[in-house]
Amino acid sequence: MKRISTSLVSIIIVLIIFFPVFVIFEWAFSTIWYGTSLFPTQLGFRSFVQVIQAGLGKSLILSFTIAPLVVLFSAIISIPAAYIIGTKDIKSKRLIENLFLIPLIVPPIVSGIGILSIYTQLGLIGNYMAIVLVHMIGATPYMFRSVEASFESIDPSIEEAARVLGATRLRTILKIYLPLVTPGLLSGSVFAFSWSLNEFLLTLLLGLPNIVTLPVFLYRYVGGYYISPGPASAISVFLIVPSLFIVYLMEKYIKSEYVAGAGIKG
Amino acid sequence: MSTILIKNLKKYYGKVLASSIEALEIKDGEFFTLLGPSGCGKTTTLRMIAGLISPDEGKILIDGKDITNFPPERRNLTMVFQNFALFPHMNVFDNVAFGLRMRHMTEKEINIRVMEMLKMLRIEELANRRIEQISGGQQQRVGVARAIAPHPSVVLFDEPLSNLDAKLREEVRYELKELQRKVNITAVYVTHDQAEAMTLSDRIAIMQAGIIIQIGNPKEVYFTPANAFVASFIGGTNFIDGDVEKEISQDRVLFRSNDGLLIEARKGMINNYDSKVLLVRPEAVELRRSSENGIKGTIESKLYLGGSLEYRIRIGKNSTLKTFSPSVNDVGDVNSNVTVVIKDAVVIKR
Repeated sequence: MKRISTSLVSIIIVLIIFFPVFVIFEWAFSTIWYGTSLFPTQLGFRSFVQVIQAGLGKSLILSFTIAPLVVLFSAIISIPAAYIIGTKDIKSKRLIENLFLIPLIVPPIVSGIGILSIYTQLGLIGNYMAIVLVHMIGATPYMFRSVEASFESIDPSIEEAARVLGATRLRTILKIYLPLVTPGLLSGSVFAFSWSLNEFLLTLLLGLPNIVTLPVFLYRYVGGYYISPGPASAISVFLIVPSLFIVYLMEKYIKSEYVAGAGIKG
Repeated sequence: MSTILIKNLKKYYGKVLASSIEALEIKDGEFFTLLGPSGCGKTTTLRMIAGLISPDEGKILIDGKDITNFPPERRNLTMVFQNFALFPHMNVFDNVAFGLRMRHMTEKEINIRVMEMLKMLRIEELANRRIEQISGGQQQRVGVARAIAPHPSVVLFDEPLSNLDAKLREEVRYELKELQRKVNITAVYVTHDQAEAMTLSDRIAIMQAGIIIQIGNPKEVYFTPANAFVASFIGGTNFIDGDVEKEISQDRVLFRSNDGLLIEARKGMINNYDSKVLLVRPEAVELRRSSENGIKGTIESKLYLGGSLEYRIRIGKNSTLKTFSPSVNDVGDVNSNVTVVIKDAVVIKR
C-alpha cells in the first residue's frame, strides 16, 4: 500500500514537472497545430526556420558566450572569499555569509532601475561586458555558497599537513583545495550558468539594442500584442536542452567520492 | 637531525595561559615526548614549533636559527597528525611524494625515495590505493611515511596513535620504535598515553596547566617523579602520608608515616619546604607470609585478574597499599595477615 502511494506521488510529481516541457516540444516541432488536440496536427521544423531567419544565431552566440564568462568570473571572485570564510575562524562569519545572499533578496527590477541610471551615465547600455557583470549579481551568490560549503567540509588539518610538508599557501590552494572543492565548484557553475542563461529582466533593461540573449529574443514572440507559441517554444528548446544535458553530466560524472573522502575520516 | 631550542615561549588563549615554556632544549637525534592530560598545553607547544600557531612571546630556534616568525613551509619540519590528515584526492604514493615534490626533487628520485619509505613501513603493495580504501592503521603508516620521506630536520607527532584501536595502537607503536632505530630522526612527540611515552622516548617532559613540571628520561620520571601529579600520571601509585624523620645518608631518608610506621626511602627531588608524601609503586611491594619480619598488614581486598592478583593491604589506620602478585603465588584470602616488604620508596612533593 505504502509502495503504491509512493510511486503514485512520484508519477504525479514527474507529470507536473514534465508536462509543460512536453508541451513546449510539441509546439516547437509542429508545423500545424491549434493547441486543441493532445498531439500536433502536423510535425515539422517551420518554427525553427522562422526563428533562425529572425536572428536566433546571434542570440545563441550571445547567451552561450556570456554564461561561461559569468561562470568564470564569479568563480574567480568566489574561490578566494570562500577559502577564507570557509576554512578560517572569522568573526561574524554567519553575517558575512548572509550578506552574500543580499543580491538574491533584492528584486532584479529594483537593482535594474538603479543600475540603469548608472549605466546610462557611463555609456554602458548595450555593452557586452556590462551585461556579464550584471548577470554576476545573481550568479555569484550561488557560486559562493556552493564553493564555500565545499571548503567548509574539508578537515583543516589537511591544509596544515600540506603547509608543514613545504607547500606555500598558494600552492596549498592550487594542489590541495582546488581538487577537493571541484564538486562544489561544478555545482556552483551549473547554478551560475543557468542563472545567466535564464536572466531576462536586467538584460532587457540594460542590454538593448545590442545584447539580445535567448530569453530577450523569446520575449519578442510572447510579449506585446500577440503570442506566437511555435517560435517561442522553438527558442525555449535551446534553453531547456543544455540545462538537461548539464544535469545529466553532473549526475553521471560527479559522484560524491571526492567530498566523502575530504576529511570525514578521523 | 637538528637541535631545537625554546626560550620563554608563551601562548595565551584569551586570558588563559595555554602554554609557557621557560627553556627547553631538544637534542640532535633525540626522541622527545610532551606528555600530559588533555588541555595541558602540549599540543599548543607542538603547533607553535610547527608554525601553525604563532606564540605571543618567546623564541624558537632550530640549529641556532631563529624560526619564530617563519611560515610552516620554511621550517623544514614535518608532522604526523592525530586524524592522519592524508590528502583524500591522492593515492598513497602521491601522498608520500607530496613533500618531495614541494622540494622540487626529480620524479626519478621521488620514485626511489617513496618506494623506500613504503617498504620501510611495509605498505609498498598499497602504493596505488586510494586513501579511503585502506584501513586506519595503514593510513597512519602512510602519514608517518609522508612525514619522514623528505628527510626533514624535525618530525612532529601530534597524538598519532590515539585514533587507532588498542591492538593497532600497540602494533604501530612498535613500528615507530623500530623506525626510530633505523632512521635517526629528531622527533617531538605529543601524547597523553604514558605507555607510548615510556616505550618511545629518550626524554619525556610532563606538562600540566601549560607548564613543564619535569623533564627526564623514562626511568627518572618513573622512579623519581617531581611530584604526586607526575607520579600518578605515569604508572600505578601508593601514597603514604607523613614526613621525613631524619636523613640516613646523602640520598636516603627515614620516613615516618602518620600511622607511625618507619620506612626507609630514597630522598628524591624534595627540599625542606615541600609538603611531602611517600610514593610506593605497586610492583615495589612484596607480600610474604605473616611469620616473616617486616611491616604487618591485613588483606583488605583481592581481585583476580587472570595472570595476576590485585591486593589491597591495610598497613595502618590511614594507609593501604595496592600491589600485584602472580596468581600462582597466592599469599592468602581477605582478612588474613601478611608481611609487607617495601623494596623501593621515594619521598616526593605532594
